[in-house]
Amino acid sequence: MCSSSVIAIVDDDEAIRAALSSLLRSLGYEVRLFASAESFLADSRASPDCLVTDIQMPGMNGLQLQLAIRNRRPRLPVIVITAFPEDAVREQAIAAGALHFLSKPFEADAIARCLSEAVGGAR
Amino acid sequence: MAPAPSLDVAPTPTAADGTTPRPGRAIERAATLLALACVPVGLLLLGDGDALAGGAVLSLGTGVAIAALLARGRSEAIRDRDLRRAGISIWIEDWTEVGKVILSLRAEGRDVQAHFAAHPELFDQLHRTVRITDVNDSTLDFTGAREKSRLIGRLADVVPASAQTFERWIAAMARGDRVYRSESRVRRLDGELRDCLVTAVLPRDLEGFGNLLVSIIDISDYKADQARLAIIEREASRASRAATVGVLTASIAHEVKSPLAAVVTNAEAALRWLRRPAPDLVEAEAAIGAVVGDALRARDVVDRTRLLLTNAPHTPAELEIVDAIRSAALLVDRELRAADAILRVRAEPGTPRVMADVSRLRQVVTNLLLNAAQAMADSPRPREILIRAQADGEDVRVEVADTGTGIAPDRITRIFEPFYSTKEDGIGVGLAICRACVEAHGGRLWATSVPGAGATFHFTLPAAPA
Repeated sequence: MCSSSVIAIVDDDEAIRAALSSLLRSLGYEVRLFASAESFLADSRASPDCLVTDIQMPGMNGLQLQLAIRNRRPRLPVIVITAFPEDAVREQAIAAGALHFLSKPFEADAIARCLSEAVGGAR
Repeated sequence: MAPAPSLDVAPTPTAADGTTPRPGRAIERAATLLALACVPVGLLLLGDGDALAGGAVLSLGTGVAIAALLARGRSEAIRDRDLRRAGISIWIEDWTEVGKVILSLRAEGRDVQAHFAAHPELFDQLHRTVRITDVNDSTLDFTGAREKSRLIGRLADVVPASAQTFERWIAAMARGDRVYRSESRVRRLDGELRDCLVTAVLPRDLEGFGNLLVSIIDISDYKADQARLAIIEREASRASRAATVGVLTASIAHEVKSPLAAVVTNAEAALRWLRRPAPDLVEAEAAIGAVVGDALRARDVVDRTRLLLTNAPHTPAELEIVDAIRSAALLVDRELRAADAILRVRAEPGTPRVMADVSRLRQVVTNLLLNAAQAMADSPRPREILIRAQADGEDVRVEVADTGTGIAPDRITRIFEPFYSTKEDGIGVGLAICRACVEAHGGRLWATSVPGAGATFHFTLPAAPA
């Protein structure tokens, strides 16, 4: 993992954003937080090395975000996290190009492995 | 009318007056009687759908058939073949002995019902005197008998189970009812039980008792359809309940899993900050602090869910409305802050105390506050919720106003319907439960809104006695 790898976290739940931020920073990543898919897409400076996004959010959901970002950054690794890990949602996320699909709550090692795979190398 | 196991041993037909009836002639006479007698029966059946579930539909067919027969029967007597085509089984029965007892009691000015109640042995004695004197061809189809002679004779021998309903017939006659009607079951010769609708216009004089015309309509298919429909309805209801439980469970799971996920992630983060070669105590402390906050949030979710779903006893007590509102607001403080919503609570001077169950009042207020916060999620700041309490006649009226997007006019009443939700992941029970809670207090809950300028939920509670 490169110490400068930037991970964008998109989740409407403030507590989840804060917790993920702390965890990913403890793993050595730089973190950018977004409360909605729209705010992530609107931020022209957001050029993360990996996107971690929730599925169910007001407005644009995580699956729609995946499709929107695919045109702009087709090679951007996306990790989907959700409290509703139904098979159909998982299949949709993977079909839309998600690298990994994690069910909340997840263990730190699980997301650490996913991120390591997404941005290369591991701490 | 019911089982007829002894149809094979029908006695020689003998009329009550000792003469031998001539099957066929009696039916012709009865058909004419039916034409007259069924007018009120048909009208009664048409107008009475309560006594027999769905009876109006069945009776409509009967009434229409009879009306059609009557229309044609103006110039000629309704013939047996008409009744057969209509699927109406006609039994001509001789109840002369019953008539004698009832009419003599009446003539003496005695209470007929009381007399029979005092002499129950009369039922059995009189039942044995009743005779079937004629039946129509449709009755042969209905019972499976090959000849009318099989069905003609003493009612008790031909249809032994008629003893079970005989008391009801006597009671109707004793009361002076115009019409007897009941559902019954008749066993065909092949042993099959058929559901029937039995009707008769009850006689007024002895001649009428001697020629009682009983019509029987086979409603077995209709009853079977009803039974199948009841099973389908039960299944649909069960499936609906199961689906509701599923949606409810998913919603609760989501509500609990979110803070739980934050607890796990923060705890893992804290461990990693502490396990660094140079532990970062500041970051670890912040993560552990967040664990506490997330755990409390999970507790609040569980408490709110319990409040929402438990049917706690309603125990109203005198309380200060503003105190109850503020204590309820604490339960959703985190959500309000997350939504950047500013809450203001005001009580107008002179607002009396209310009589309310504090748990249920909290349930109502927390639901309305969460709804308000969610309604303002896409609104520009400042996002304000104003709760105002004031005296309103003998009640206290509380308004919960937000600065959200408002409610469309076509939704303003529907939002209180159970399982109506405007939220993608909502289950739509919150406002329905709120309304039920308020109404349990004797109050009202409603909403007003100017689309684009926010919504206001109003509820009233009875003021405590001064």
